[in-house]
Amino acid sequence: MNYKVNYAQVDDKTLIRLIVQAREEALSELYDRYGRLVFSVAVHIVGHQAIAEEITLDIFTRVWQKAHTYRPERAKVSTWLTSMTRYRAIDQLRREDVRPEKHSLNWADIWPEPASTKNNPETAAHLALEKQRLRTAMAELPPEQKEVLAWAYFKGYSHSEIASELDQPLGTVKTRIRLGMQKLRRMLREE
Amino acid sequence: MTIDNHVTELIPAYALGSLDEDEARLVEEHLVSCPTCQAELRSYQMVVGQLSLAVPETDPPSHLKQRLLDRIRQQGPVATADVQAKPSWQQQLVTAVQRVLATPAWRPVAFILILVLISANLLLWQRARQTEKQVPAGFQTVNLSGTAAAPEAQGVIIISDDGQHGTLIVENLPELDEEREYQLWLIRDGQRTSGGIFSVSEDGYRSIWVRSPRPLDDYSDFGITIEPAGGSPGPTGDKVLGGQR
Repeated sequence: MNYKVNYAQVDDKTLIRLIVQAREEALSELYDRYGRLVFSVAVHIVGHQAIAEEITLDIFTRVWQKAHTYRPERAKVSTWLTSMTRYRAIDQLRREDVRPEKHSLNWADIWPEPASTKNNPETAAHLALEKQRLRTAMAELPPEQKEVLAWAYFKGYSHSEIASELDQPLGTVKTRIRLGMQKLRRMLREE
Repeated sequence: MTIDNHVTELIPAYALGSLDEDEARLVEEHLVSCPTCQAELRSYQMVVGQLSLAVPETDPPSHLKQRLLDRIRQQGPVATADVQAKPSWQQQLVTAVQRVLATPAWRPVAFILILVLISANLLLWQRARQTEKQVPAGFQTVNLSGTAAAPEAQGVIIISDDGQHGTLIVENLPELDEEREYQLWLIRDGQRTSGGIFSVSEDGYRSIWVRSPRPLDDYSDFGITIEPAGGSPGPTGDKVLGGQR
């Protein structure tokens, strides 16, 4: 008897396994869940809509081809996707040697945005909760720490590049990044 | 120890990718042998992963999904079919070694030695993974082809099925003088990390363990260049072999 999979109900890890088995509906569902997130990361790094679209396509195509390399014990599916996206986008930035505009480096406000109706309810609720937690943590960081983290995250700048860009001492930048990351880790661990 | 403290402090920035090159190398070298710092790194990598949720969200254009589906349909199921029909790791291993040893000049003794060594290594790896519930899916192999600088050269990297370790086998690489050696580069997002330094014997053959600070299957590309004996911090010489996963 054929079992019809309800892709909206399966968890992320199982979805990846189904993609390994070349189930197109599984990739479609994964895009519904995380397409917006991947695109957002890409567009806020490269600052260019069409390039961000290409990157998004590349990432999901890569998932289609390399789903068998995903290791659940190393990262959540969402983290796996966004890490790949960030690396790919920063790589693109470096290749084009784009000078970013300062105003494009903003973290989101803490107010959670309405969940996309395309998500399955569990994913949507889970994501909304994580977003709230993270954005609250970010709101507690001093602005100078948030600023250097933004340069590091969105533009892939190194310590000395950030120091040069913001005209700050190298030691100050290093300390701010370290303190910011430590604080975030501490806050995100408390549950 | 002050050196270790110094390295520990660099780990959050390393996870973010914002260390300058010399500091990044310092951390990478330290990570190879420090499980505590490896665990630290993982916890900070999780923080970086979370940061994506603090990115302002923008909807992609509605036609993007269809473009994706069109693209994967064009490519066909070939890639994933290969994965589904994955042969046992033993078969993969034999195929990989056979490919490398295709030259008739190979002595049978060397062939057996390689198989024994690799099998022994792999059995050790497998036994070490005690909590593995799934049947191993098999190795990944990365084929390396010779460049114009070494057109006859061939190589393969066999990555263990947990993606952590690997073995490099090369053949038909020209022997170098004492002042130079070959160096393997593990490449990820444009960053190159050394995976080992080696020389070849008269018949152009060598097999080495590949050690890296990250799991080996994190790297997308691999290359081998000619460097001064003892290696270089980054590739400086001619590239002789290259391949990608």
